Amino acid sequence: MEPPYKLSRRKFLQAAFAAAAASGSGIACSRTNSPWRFLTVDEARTLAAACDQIIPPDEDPGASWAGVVNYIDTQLCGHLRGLQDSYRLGIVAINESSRLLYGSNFAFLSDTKQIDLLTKMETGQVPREAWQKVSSSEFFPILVDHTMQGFYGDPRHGGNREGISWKMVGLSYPPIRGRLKYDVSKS
Amino acid sequence: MSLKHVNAVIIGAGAGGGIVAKELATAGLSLVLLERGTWQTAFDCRKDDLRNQRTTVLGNAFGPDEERNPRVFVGLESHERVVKPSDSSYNNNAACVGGGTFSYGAMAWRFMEQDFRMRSIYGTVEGSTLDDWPISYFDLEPYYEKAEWEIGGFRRRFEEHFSRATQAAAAHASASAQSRIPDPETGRASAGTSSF
Repeated sequence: MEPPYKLSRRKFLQAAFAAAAASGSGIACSRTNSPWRFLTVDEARTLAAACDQIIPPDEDPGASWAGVVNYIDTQLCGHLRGLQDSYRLGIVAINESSRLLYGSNFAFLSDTKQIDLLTKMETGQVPREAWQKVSSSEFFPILVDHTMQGFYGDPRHGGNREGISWKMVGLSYPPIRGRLKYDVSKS
Repeated sequence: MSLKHVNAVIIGAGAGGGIVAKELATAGLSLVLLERGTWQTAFDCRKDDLRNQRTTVLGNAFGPDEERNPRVFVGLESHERVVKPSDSSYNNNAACVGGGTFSYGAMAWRFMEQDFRMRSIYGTVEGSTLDDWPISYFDLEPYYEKAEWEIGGFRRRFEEHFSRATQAAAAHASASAQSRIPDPETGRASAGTSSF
């Protein structure tokens, strides 16, 4: 009996080529008008503000100080390149929602209003017209995941500057290696 | 360009290919060992919570390459989809020189005697393929022994592990045994790793 949905050789090759093409899409991974790889200056500013509400600075530095934006920017030209469109459209949608609800872009809102908007994103209560191309309830968890990855992950991936989150929770930095006869100073 | 003739060509430098290559080479045969993945070193085995043997948030630490090695995953409903190596349904192990043994945590468990006689122990289970092995544990035991010497592990009996007296004796025995294992990089004798 034929299975209900059979992946043909043609379909497989299409999918495989699509994956390969996406990897080399070359979408602005070496910008000349921005210090970032993928992000524009304005996008990075919006992202920094959003990430700083997810992991805010207190007695320890927050997400943007720790380089979370650099982590996301680096990985959008690396392993997470498949999410370039999500970020581009998601950041546009955040600012559009912000203007509709509060009259200015996200980065310039007060903490209270920024948190209010992020909460609306999480619960899907954002202005529908601003989120036509990307879903706020799908983009929000991506943003949270990547903020945590950039904050707690290994500094070699672009975030966790000076191992700050590891120091915060009391982990040794640099990490203790099983066999210390290898040079740990190289990245 | 004419290729050099060799006695054997081995595809894949993982746990299987590596052992075959070593056995043939020490027996005096010429051979070529092919591996698609990269040559990694102990330096590449380091703590990384986003990219390691089991966590693939940023891809597979020990290969394969993310873009060029898709697999087809078939679900219970026969739905098929193409998955990348970092997808959990890919069931990736590793693709590098050494294969999975490069990053497996150095735990090489022996099967127990009973594992070879499951049908004799549990009887025929309807609808299952449960069966006894055609060989027993004791047929395999010398090869376990050899493999453990080769990879630097050693075996202690379960009950010995929890008996202080025999544990001390085993530690003494293994210490003297280990002194015969030279470290491949330094040439010095080094501590083996116990799989138990």
